[in-house]
Formats: sequence, C-alpha cells, structure tokens
Amino acid sequence: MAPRRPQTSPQYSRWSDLPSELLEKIGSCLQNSYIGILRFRAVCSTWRRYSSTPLPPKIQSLTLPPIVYLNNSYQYVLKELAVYSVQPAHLHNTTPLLLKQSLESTDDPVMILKPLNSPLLDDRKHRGLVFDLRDFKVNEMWFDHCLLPRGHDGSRTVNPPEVEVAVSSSLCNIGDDEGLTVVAIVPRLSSSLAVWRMGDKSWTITRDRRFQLFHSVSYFNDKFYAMDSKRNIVVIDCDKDTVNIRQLVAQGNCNEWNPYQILVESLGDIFLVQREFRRQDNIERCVVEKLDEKEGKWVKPSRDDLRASPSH
Amino acid sequence: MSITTENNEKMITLMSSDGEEFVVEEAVAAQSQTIKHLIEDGCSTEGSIPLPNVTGRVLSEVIQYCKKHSSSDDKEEKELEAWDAEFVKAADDHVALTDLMMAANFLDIKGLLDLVAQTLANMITGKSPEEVRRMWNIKNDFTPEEAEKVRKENQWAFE
Repeated sequence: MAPRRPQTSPQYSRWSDLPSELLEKIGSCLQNSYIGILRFRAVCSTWRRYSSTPLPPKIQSLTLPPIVYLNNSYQYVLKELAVYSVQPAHLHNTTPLLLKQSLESTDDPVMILKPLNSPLLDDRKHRGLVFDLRDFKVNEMWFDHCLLPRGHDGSRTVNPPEVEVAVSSSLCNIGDDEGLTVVAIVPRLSSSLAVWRMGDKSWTITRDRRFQLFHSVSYFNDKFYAMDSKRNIVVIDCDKDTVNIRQLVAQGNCNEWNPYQILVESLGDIFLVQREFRRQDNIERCVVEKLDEKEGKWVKPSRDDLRASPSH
Repeated sequence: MSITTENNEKMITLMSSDGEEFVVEEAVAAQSQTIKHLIEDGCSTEGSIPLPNVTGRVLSEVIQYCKKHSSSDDKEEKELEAWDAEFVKAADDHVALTDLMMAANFLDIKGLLDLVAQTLANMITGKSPEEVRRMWNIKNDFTPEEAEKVRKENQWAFE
C-alpha cells in the first residue's frame, strides 16, 4: 500500500475547486441517504446548487381493522418509521439517542425510541423542542413499525393507548405468497397479544392465563417472539387459522420489573438487553443475556456474541 | 517507446506531472479510457505518455488499482470488493481521496471514480456540515435567505 500522505496537500485541499461534475457525482452517491443529502446541501452554496431538494424516504402505511376494546373501538394505521441514531457532533463519547420519525411530512414530529434509549430520558422534557440536525451526527439505522391512532368518522379518538407492534415483513415488499402478519400488544385488554393476518376481517385476540401483561414483541428468524412482565418468552405460531402461544423460556430470574428491556436479534441469536439505572449512585448499566432456545434458558453471552450485538 | 516482455505483453511508460516514470502493461494502463484513446491515437509509440494532471504519488496509487482490476475476473468479485475497501482505507485522508478522484476523473477510470465518490459521500454523511467545511476548507457562503432555508430543512421537532 502507498504510504500515507501529509494531511494537507497544497494542490486540491480546497473542495470548492472541485469541478461541478465531480460534486454532482458525490451528490448522486447520496441519493439513498436522506440525511446525507441534507448534509451535503448545508455545506455551502455551490454544493447546494449541485444537489436537488431531498425527498424523504418513502414511508408505507396500511389501514388495519379496528381493535375492539370492551365497548370502544380504535382505528389504527400501521406505519413504517425510519429510526435514526443522533449524537451531538462535538461530543464523541456520548451514547447516541435513537429517534424515530415518520417522514411523510418533514413537519411530523420525531419520537424517542423506547425502550432502547436511556431510562433517564424524559419524553416530557423534550416535548415541543426543536433541534437542528446540523449540530448532530445522524445515522440512518433501520425501519420500525408503529400503530398510529386514526380519527374515526372524522372525529379524533381521545387518547388511544399506545400499542407495541411487530410485523413480519417490510411494508415495501409484501409478496403475494409471503403475505403479512402483524402482532400487537393490546394495552387495555390486560396487554394480551392480538394477531392480524393479511385478509383477516378482524384481529384474533389470544387469551392464555399462563402469561400476563405482554411487554415486548419482535419478529425475527420468521417467528414472532414476545415477553411478558414475568420474563416468560413465548413464540407465537400464527399459521393459517390458528394462533398458538408456545412457551420458550420460563420465567426469568428477575426480582423487579424493569420496563427498559428489549429482545434483540443479532446474527441469528436472540438477546435480552436490559438497561438498569441505580438512582442511589446514578449509575446506568446494560445487562445482556443470550437465549439458549434448546435448553430454554438465558445464558451469559460469550465475548464474540457481545462484539456482534448491537448493544455493544 | 513501447517494449515487449518475455510473455509478449506490451509495456508502456506513463509519466507523471512531476516527471516520475511508470512502466506498466498496456492492459493495465488501458483501464483508463483516456490512456486507451491516447494509445489508439499512437501517442505511446514515441516514448512515454505524459499525464500533466497527475502527480507521481497519485499515479502510483491509480496504477495499483488498475493492476488489481485488470488481473481479476468476475469470479473474484467478493475478494475485489474487499480489496477496494482496503484500498480507499489506505488513502484514508480526505485530501488524498480528493486527489484520487480528480485523477480518476481525468484518466476516465469509471470503477475508481465510483469507488472514491462513494467513499467521500460516506464521509460527508457521518459529519456535521461545520466539520465538513473545516476538513475541506470550505467557506460558509450562504446568503441570509439561503441560510434560513437550510435551517428550515434541518429542523426536527419532538413530539
């Protein structure tokens, strides 16, 4: 390999001298990155001239049948949201904040992605705040799904409960053979699981007294996994007409309910990531456990697992 | 002047802007459309091909790239991708990459141009506009009206 050069070369150190066709070329490499184009256009007037106004990533949405509670029904729209990691540009060692945004309109508000973000984050503190992307390092991470409440007969539903949801396929590539399955946690029905398969007229609500208050639901390796408040991990089998819940891991050894835990898949394995915050000494730590599906228990992850896991 | 090696490969000599000479196989040099046309036009028969826009340092890197890419076939695509990634990593500072991009453009080597453009694009994505300006020594020259538009484009409001 060629030796490294000194940091400055008198020849082309000024990028404003770069021919326009090369600027355009770099701009076109950013086509797939919404944030990338915004950045490019925010540097100087020349760069701005050689790029076009970025179009936010195309966000898909799907209207689902209403979820019926006792004598109320709520209409939801399933939406794909882009998840971004955001970090102050001048601070290098801070933990990035994960935000999600439905970019249908850039006026849409951003939301803090829970529960991966720090328990210290208080949504209410951020409400209404506006931040300038230029002061942050922003990385596009992945797509997340959410069920957004929708007005009913023109009238807005009053405070519909937030719903945790997992989806079997990106809304952008629903195939005829694959179809689409949605599993949601219904808060007003003892946080039980509700399943909707493409073509279903209504949701199938599961009732299984062994489990209570589902908390987290995820989809990976072609299966839906969910965790209840006692850390029972279940697999949801939703073939054709039946929906079954199968226990995978019995109650974990948890003393205290911690809302900041999430199931994460990495390289085919499933991890439970928990953030713990000790108020007395202000220490926050992350505990990661790996699922041993065969043995049906949580094990300590190896060093290699940790390196590959997103929490690292 | 053109020389022929034992295995009958035609060699040509390239001369950088600072007078450095590089003897390479014609197939390697012809990865550059510019050089290929010069050879076709008979410019290589009388001594070396002068490349007034490319310094020896940059040219040696370009030749490295062309050598690798002329000797690999399609089957080795994965390996070649990994090699490309290492190649741009070795020239990791932005000034070196900018030089390389200018050279790839002048020499008309599409693969190299795409590779470097993508690398530079990735560098921008991960940085704040102010950092980008500092790195490349670019002046923030927006008019107040433009600056306001930029500010609006970059605003995100929390729920």
